[in-house]
Amino acid sequence: MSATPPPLPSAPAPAPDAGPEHHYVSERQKRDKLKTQASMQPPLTPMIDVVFQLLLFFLLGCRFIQEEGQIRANLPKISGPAVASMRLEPIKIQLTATGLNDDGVMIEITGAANQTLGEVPKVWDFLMNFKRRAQPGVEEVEVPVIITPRGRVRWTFVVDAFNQAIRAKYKNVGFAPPGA
Amino acid sequence: MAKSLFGKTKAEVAFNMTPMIDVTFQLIIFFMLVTQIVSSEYVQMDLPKPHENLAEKLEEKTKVIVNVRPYGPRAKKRHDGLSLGYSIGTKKIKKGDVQGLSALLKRARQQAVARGGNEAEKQQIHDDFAVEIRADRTMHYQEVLPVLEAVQDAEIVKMRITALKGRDRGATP
Repeated sequence: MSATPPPLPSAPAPAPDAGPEHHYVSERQKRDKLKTQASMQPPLTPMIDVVFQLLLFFLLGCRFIQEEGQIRANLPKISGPAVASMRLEPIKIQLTATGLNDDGVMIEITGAANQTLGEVPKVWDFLMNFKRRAQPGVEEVEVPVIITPRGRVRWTFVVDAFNQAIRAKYKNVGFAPPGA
Repeated sequence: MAKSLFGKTKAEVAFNMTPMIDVTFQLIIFFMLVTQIVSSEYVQMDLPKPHENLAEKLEEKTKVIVNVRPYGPRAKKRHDGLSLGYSIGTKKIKKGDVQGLSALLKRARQQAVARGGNEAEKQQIHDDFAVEIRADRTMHYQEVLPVLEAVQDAEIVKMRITALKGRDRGATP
Protein backbone atom coordinates (compact mmCIF):
# COMPACT_ATOMS: atom_id res chain seq x y z
CA MET A 1 0.00 0.00 0.00
CA SER A 2 1.47 3.12 -0.94
CA ALA A 3 0.47 6.29 0.71
CA THR A 4 0.64 9.43 -1.31
CA PRO A 5 2.30 12.28 0.46
CA PRO A 6 0.13 15.26 1.14
CA PRO A 7 0.60 18.07 -1.37
CA LEU A 8 2.94 20.85 -0.34
CA PRO A 9 1.45 24.27 0.05
CA SER A 10 2.00 26.00 -3.21
CA ALA A 11 4.00 29.26 -3.34
CA PRO A 12 2.00 32.37 -4.17
CA ALA A 13 1.82 32.95 -7.86
CA PRO A 14 4.01 35.84 -9.05
CA ALA A 15 2.28 38.98 -10.19
CA PRO A 16 1.93 39.15 -13.95
CA ASP A 17 3.90 42.45 -14.27
CA ALA A 18 6.74 41.45 -11.96
CA GLY A 19 10.24 41.25 -13.38
CA PRO A 20 12.68 38.45 -13.00
CA GLU A 21 13.95 39.85 -9.65
CA HIS A 22 10.82 40.55 -7.82
CA HIS A 23 10.94 42.32 -4.45
CA TYR A 24 8.20 43.36 -2.27
CA VAL A 25 7.64 47.16 -2.43
CA SER A 26 5.73 48.66 0.40
CA GLU A 27 3.29 51.51 0.00
CA ARG A 28 5.61 53.85 1.88
CA GLN A 29 8.48 53.10 -0.50
CA LYS A 30 6.17 53.79 -3.41
CA ARG A 31 5.27 57.18 -1.93
CA ASP A 32 8.95 58.01 -1.35
CA LYS A 33 9.72 57.12 -4.95
CA LEU A 34 6.95 59.36 -6.18
CA LYS A 35 8.23 62.23 -4.00
CA THR A 36 11.76 61.85 -5.35
CA GLN A 37 10.51 62.08 -8.92
CA ALA A 38 8.49 65.19 -8.18
CA SER A 39 11.49 67.18 -6.89
CA MET A 40 13.38 67.13 -10.21
CA GLN A 41 14.69 70.56 -11.36
CA PRO A 42 16.62 71.92 -14.33
CA PRO A 43 20.41 71.97 -13.93
CA LEU A 44 21.40 75.31 -12.43
CA THR A 45 25.14 74.93 -12.69
CA PRO A 46 25.64 76.37 -16.23
CA MET A 47 23.38 79.30 -15.42
CA ILE A 48 25.30 80.08 -12.25
CA ASP A 49 28.54 79.85 -14.22
CA VAL A 50 27.31 82.41 -16.75
CA VAL A 51 25.93 84.66 -14.06
CA PHE A 52 29.26 84.69 -12.25
CA GLN A 53 31.08 85.45 -15.48
CA LEU A 54 28.78 88.44 -16.01
CA LEU A 55 29.23 89.58 -12.44
CA LEU A 56 33.00 89.39 -12.69
CA PHE A 57 32.93 91.33 -15.97
CA PHE A 58 30.91 94.15 -14.44
CA LEU A 59 32.89 94.17 -11.20
CA LEU A 60 36.20 94.46 -13.00
CA GLY A 61 35.02 96.71 -15.82
CA CYS A 62 33.00 99.17 -13.77
CA ARG A 63 34.48 102.54 -12.82
CA PHE A 64 32.42 105.12 -11.03
CA ILE A 65 32.85 108.52 -12.60
CA GLN A 66 31.82 111.92 -11.35
CA GLU A 67 29.52 113.98 -13.45
CA GLU A 68 31.16 116.58 -15.66
CA GLY A 69 29.99 120.03 -16.58
CA GLN A 70 31.23 122.91 -18.67
CA ILE A 71 32.04 126.45 -17.69
CA ARG A 72 30.85 128.57 -20.54
CA ALA A 73 32.78 131.45 -22.00
CA ASN A 74 32.21 133.51 -25.08
CA LEU A 75 35.54 134.72 -26.25
CA PRO A 76 35.68 138.05 -28.05
CA LYS A 77 36.37 137.70 -31.74
CA ILE A 78 39.90 138.08 -33.10
CA SER A 79 42.12 137.84 -30.02
CA GLY A 80 39.47 139.64 -28.03
CA PRO A 81 41.28 141.06 -25.03
CA ALA A 82 43.52 143.11 -27.29
CA VAL A 83 40.49 144.58 -29.07
CA ALA A 84 38.51 145.14 -25.89
CA SER A 85 41.42 146.80 -24.14
CA MET A 86 41.35 149.60 -26.70
CA ARG A 87 38.18 150.90 -25.09
CA LEU A 88 38.60 149.96 -21.42
CA GLU A 89 41.67 149.19 -19.44
CA PRO A 90 41.52 145.49 -18.59
CA ILE A 91 41.99 143.80 -15.24
CA LYS A 92 44.95 141.48 -15.54
CA ILE A 93 45.01 138.50 -13.20
CA GLN A 94 48.49 137.13 -13.13
CA LEU A 95 48.93 133.65 -11.64
CA THR A 96 52.33 132.44 -10.51
CA ALA A 97 53.08 128.95 -9.24
CA THR A 98 54.46 128.67 -5.72
CA GLY A 99 55.71 125.79 -3.60
CA LEU A 100 58.17 123.00 -4.25
CA ASN A 101 55.84 121.05 -6.52
CA ASP A 102 53.99 124.08 -7.88
CA ASP A 103 51.11 123.14 -5.61
CA GLY A 104 50.33 126.72 -4.66
CA VAL A 105 49.52 129.90 -6.48
CA MET A 106 50.11 133.62 -6.01
CA ILE A 107 47.70 136.05 -7.61
CA GLU A 108 48.66 139.55 -8.65
CA ILE A 109 46.13 141.96 -10.06
CA THR A 110 47.49 144.60 -12.39
CA GLY A 111 46.06 146.92 -15.00
CA ALA A 112 42.92 148.68 -13.85
CA ALA A 113 43.85 147.94 -10.23
CA ASN A 114 46.85 146.68 -8.30
CA GLN A 115 46.58 144.10 -5.57
CA THR A 116 48.09 140.81 -4.44
CA LEU A 117 45.79 138.00 -3.37
CA GLY A 118 46.64 134.86 -1.45
CA GLU A 119 44.04 132.46 -2.78
CA VAL A 120 41.84 132.08 -5.82
CA PRO A 121 38.39 132.52 -4.21
CA LYS A 122 39.42 136.05 -3.24
CA VAL A 123 39.50 136.92 -6.94
CA TRP A 124 35.72 136.93 -6.85
CA ASP A 125 35.67 139.33 -3.87
CA PHE A 126 38.08 141.64 -5.63
CA LEU A 127 36.15 141.59 -8.91
CA MET A 128 32.84 142.23 -7.17
CA ASN A 129 34.30 145.22 -5.27
CA PHE A 130 35.82 146.57 -8.46
CA LYS A 131 32.51 146.19 -10.29
CA ARG A 132 30.64 148.11 -7.58
CA ARG A 133 33.15 150.95 -7.75
CA ALA A 134 33.61 151.08 -11.53
CA GLN A 135 30.07 150.55 -12.73
CA PRO A 136 27.64 150.76 -9.82
CA GLY A 137 24.27 149.17 -10.44
CA VAL A 138 25.42 147.34 -13.54
CA GLU A 139 24.91 143.58 -13.49
CA GLU A 140 27.25 142.53 -16.30
CA VAL A 141 30.46 144.49 -16.58
CA GLU A 142 32.18 145.42 -19.81
CA VAL A 143 35.66 145.71 -18.29
CA PRO A 144 37.74 142.92 -19.79
CA VAL A 145 39.41 140.41 -17.51
CA ILE A 146 42.59 138.83 -18.81
CA ILE A 147 43.94 135.81 -16.99
CA THR A 148 47.68 135.53 -17.39
CA PRO A 149 49.03 132.33 -15.89
CA ARG A 150 52.72 131.56 -15.83
CA GLY A 151 53.72 128.34 -17.54
CA ARG A 152 53.99 126.10 -14.49
CA VAL A 153 50.71 127.08 -12.85
CA ARG A 154 48.42 124.11 -12.41
CA TRP A 155 45.35 123.99 -14.63
CA THR A 156 43.06 123.73 -11.61
CA PHE A 157 44.07 127.24 -10.46
CA VAL A 158 43.56 128.64 -13.96
CA VAL A 159 40.09 127.11 -14.16
CA ASP A 160 39.27 128.37 -10.69
CA ALA A 161 40.31 131.94 -11.55
CA PHE A 162 38.32 131.74 -14.78
CA ASN A 163 35.33 130.41 -12.85
CA GLN A 164 35.52 133.30 -10.37
CA ALA A 165 35.58 135.88 -13.16
CA ILE A 166 32.56 134.30 -14.85
CA ARG A 167 30.85 134.06 -11.46
CA ALA A 168 31.39 137.78 -10.89
CA LYS A 169 29.55 138.31 -14.22
CA TYR A 170 32.26 139.89 -16.27
CA LYS A 171 31.40 139.72 -19.94
CA ASN A 172 34.84 139.59 -21.50
CA VAL A 173 37.01 137.01 -19.82
CA GLY A 174 39.96 135.69 -21.76
CA PHE A 175 43.43 134.30 -21.52
CA ALA A 176 46.48 136.32 -22.34
CA PRO A 177 48.12 135.59 -25.65
CA PRO A 178 51.43 133.70 -25.39
CA GLY A 179 54.35 135.83 -24.29
CA ALA A 180 52.15 138.43 -22.64
CA MET B 1 18.19 59.76 -1.11
CA ALA B 2 20.93 57.35 -0.19
CA LYS B 3 20.02 54.37 1.84
CA SER B 4 22.14 52.45 4.29
CA LEU B 5 22.28 48.71 4.62
CA PHE B 6 19.41 48.67 7.07
CA GLY B 7 17.14 50.86 4.99
CA LYS B 8 17.63 54.06 6.95
CA THR B 9 17.77 57.30 5.01
CA LYS B 10 21.04 59.32 5.11
CA ALA B 11 20.82 63.10 5.03
CA GLU B 12 22.59 64.66 2.01
CA VAL B 13 24.58 67.81 2.68
CA ALA B 14 24.08 70.50 0.00
CA PHE B 15 24.52 74.26 -0.18
CA ASN B 16 21.40 76.32 -0.38
CA MET B 17 22.10 78.15 -3.63
CA THR B 18 18.92 80.18 -3.88
CA PRO B 19 19.89 83.23 -1.74
CA MET B 20 23.29 83.39 -3.39
CA ILE B 21 21.74 83.40 -6.85
CA ASP B 22 19.28 86.06 -5.71
CA VAL B 23 22.08 88.32 -4.49
CA THR B 24 24.13 87.69 -7.60
CA PHE B 25 21.25 88.67 -9.84
CA GLN B 26 20.70 91.82 -7.83
CA LEU B 27 24.35 92.75 -8.27
CA ILE B 28 24.25 92.09 -11.99
CA ILE B 29 21.14 94.19 -12.46
CA PHE B 30 22.74 97.00 -10.46
CA PHE B 31 25.93 96.99 -12.52
CA MET B 32 24.04 96.70 -15.80
CA LEU B 33 21.97 99.76 -14.92
CA VAL B 34 24.79 101.98 -13.71
CA THR B 35 27.40 101.04 -16.31
CA GLN B 36 28.04 103.58 -19.02
CA ILE B 37 30.23 102.72 -21.93
CA VAL B 38 33.06 105.21 -22.00
CA SER B 39 33.38 107.13 -25.22
CA SER B 40 36.77 107.74 -26.82
CA GLU B 41 35.91 111.44 -26.72
CA TYR B 42 36.30 111.42 -22.95
CA VAL B 43 39.86 110.54 -21.99
CA GLN B 44 40.22 109.34 -18.41
CA MET B 45 41.65 112.13 -16.26
CA ASP B 46 41.20 113.94 -12.97
CA LEU B 47 39.28 117.09 -13.82
CA PRO B 48 39.44 120.36 -11.86
CA LYS B 49 36.70 121.34 -9.44
CA PRO B 50 36.72 125.10 -8.74
CA HIS B 51 35.23 126.90 -5.77
CA GLU B 52 31.58 127.89 -6.19
CA ASN B 53 31.48 125.81 -9.30
CA LEU B 54 29.58 127.20 -12.28
CA ALA B 55 30.03 124.07 -14.35
CA GLU B 56 26.78 122.85 -15.86
CA LYS B 57 25.76 120.22 -18.35
CA LEU B 58 25.50 121.95 -21.71
CA GLU B 59 23.70 120.00 -24.39
CA GLU B 60 25.27 121.53 -27.47
CA LYS B 61 24.73 119.86 -30.79
CA THR B 62 27.73 121.28 -32.59
CA LYS B 63 30.82 121.05 -30.50
CA VAL B 64 34.18 119.41 -30.53
CA ILE B 65 35.96 118.06 -27.46
CA VAL B 66 39.71 118.58 -27.21
CA ASN B 67 41.45 116.42 -24.62
CA VAL B 68 44.87 117.31 -23.29
CA ARG B 69 46.07 113.76 -22.79
CA PRO B 70 47.79 113.15 -19.46
CA TYR B 71 50.31 110.46 -18.71
CA GLY B 72 48.77 107.44 -17.03
CA PRO B 73 48.15 107.51 -13.29
CA ARG B 74 51.15 105.24 -12.64
CA ALA B 75 53.48 107.63 -14.41
CA LYS B 76 51.88 110.68 -12.82
CA LYS B 77 54.78 111.41 -10.50
CA ARG B 78 57.48 110.97 -13.12
CA HIS B 79 55.78 113.25 -15.64
CA ASP B 80 54.12 115.56 -13.20
CA GLY B 81 52.10 118.21 -14.98
CA LEU B 82 53.16 117.18 -18.48
CA SER B 83 50.96 116.02 -21.32
CA LEU B 84 51.28 113.37 -24.02
CA GLY B 85 49.61 115.51 -26.65
CA TYR B 86 46.03 116.23 -27.62
CA SER B 87 43.16 114.21 -28.98
CA ILE B 88 39.90 114.91 -30.73
CA GLY B 89 37.84 111.73 -30.71
CA THR B 90 40.21 109.01 -31.86
CA LYS B 91 42.53 111.45 -33.65
CA LYS B 92 45.72 112.20 -31.78
CA ILE B 93 47.70 115.36 -32.27
CA LYS B 94 51.32 115.84 -31.30
CA LYS B 95 52.19 118.01 -28.37
CA GLY B 96 52.68 121.64 -29.40
CA ASP B 97 51.24 121.16 -32.92
CA VAL B 98 49.05 124.28 -32.91
CA GLN B 99 48.63 124.33 -36.69
CA GLY B 100 47.54 120.69 -36.82
CA LEU B 101 45.07 121.19 -34.01
CA SER B 102 43.73 124.39 -35.55
CA ALA B 103 43.25 122.65 -38.90
CA LEU B 104 41.32 119.85 -37.23
CA LEU B 105 39.09 122.32 -35.41
CA LYS B 106 38.36 124.18 -38.65
CA ARG B 107 37.58 120.93 -40.42
CA ALA B 108 35.25 119.84 -37.63
CA ARG B 109 33.39 123.12 -37.91
CA GLN B 110 33.17 122.85 -41.69
CA GLN B 111 31.72 119.36 -41.39
CA ALA B 112 29.17 120.61 -38.87
CA VAL B 113 28.23 123.53 -41.10
CA ALA B 114 27.90 121.25 -44.13
CA ARG B 115 25.21 119.28 -42.32
CA GLY B 116 23.06 122.41 -42.09
CA GLY B 117 20.16 123.02 -44.49
CA ASN B 118 19.85 126.54 -45.80
CA GLU B 119 22.31 129.42 -45.54
CA ALA B 120 20.79 130.87 -42.38
CA GLU B 121 21.01 127.52 -40.63
CA LYS B 122 24.60 127.08 -41.76
CA GLN B 123 25.51 130.51 -40.40
CA GLN B 124 23.82 129.64 -37.13
CA ILE B 125 25.83 126.43 -36.81
CA HIS B 126 29.01 128.34 -37.65
CA ASP B 127 28.33 130.86 -34.89
CA ASP B 128 27.22 128.28 -32.31
CA PHE B 129 30.12 125.93 -32.86
CA ALA B 130 31.88 125.42 -29.52
CA VAL B 131 35.13 123.92 -28.33
CA GLU B 132 35.25 122.01 -25.07
CA ILE B 133 38.65 121.76 -23.42
CA ARG B 134 39.34 118.84 -21.06
CA ALA B 135 42.59 118.83 -19.13
CA ASP B 136 43.81 117.17 -15.95
CA ARG B 137 43.76 119.36 -12.86
CA THR B 138 47.48 118.85 -12.25
CA MET B 139 48.46 119.83 -15.80
CA HIS B 140 50.74 122.80 -16.19
CA TYR B 141 49.17 125.74 -18.00
CA GLN B 142 51.91 125.69 -20.64
CA GLU B 143 50.60 122.25 -21.72
CA VAL B 144 47.10 123.62 -22.32
CA LEU B 145 48.15 126.91 -23.87
CA PRO B 146 48.63 125.48 -27.41
CA VAL B 147 44.97 124.40 -27.37
CA LEU B 148 43.88 127.94 -26.52
CA GLU B 149 46.09 129.24 -29.31
CA ALA B 150 44.55 126.78 -31.74
CA VAL B 151 41.03 127.84 -30.72
CA GLN B 152 42.00 131.46 -31.28
CA ASP B 153 43.62 130.60 -34.60
CA ALA B 154 40.49 128.78 -35.76
CA GLU B 155 38.45 131.88 -34.78
CA ILE B 156 36.07 129.91 -32.64
CA VAL B 157 34.27 132.21 -30.23
CA LYS B 158 32.54 129.74 -27.94
CA MET B 159 34.88 127.98 -25.57
CA ARG B 160 33.93 125.62 -22.77
CA ILE B 161 36.20 124.44 -19.97
CA THR B 162 35.30 121.10 -18.48
CA ALA B 163 35.19 120.76 -14.71
CA LEU B 164 33.56 118.39 -12.28
CA LYS B 165 30.09 119.26 -11.15
CA GLY B 166 28.96 119.28 -7.58
CA ARG B 167 30.22 120.23 -4.16
CA ASP B 168 33.39 122.24 -3.65
CA ARG B 169 36.64 120.41 -3.40
CA GLY B 170 38.74 123.50 -3.86
CA ALA B 171 41.51 124.20 -6.26
CA THR B 172 44.24 122.08 -4.81
CA PRO B 173 46.18 119.90 -7.20
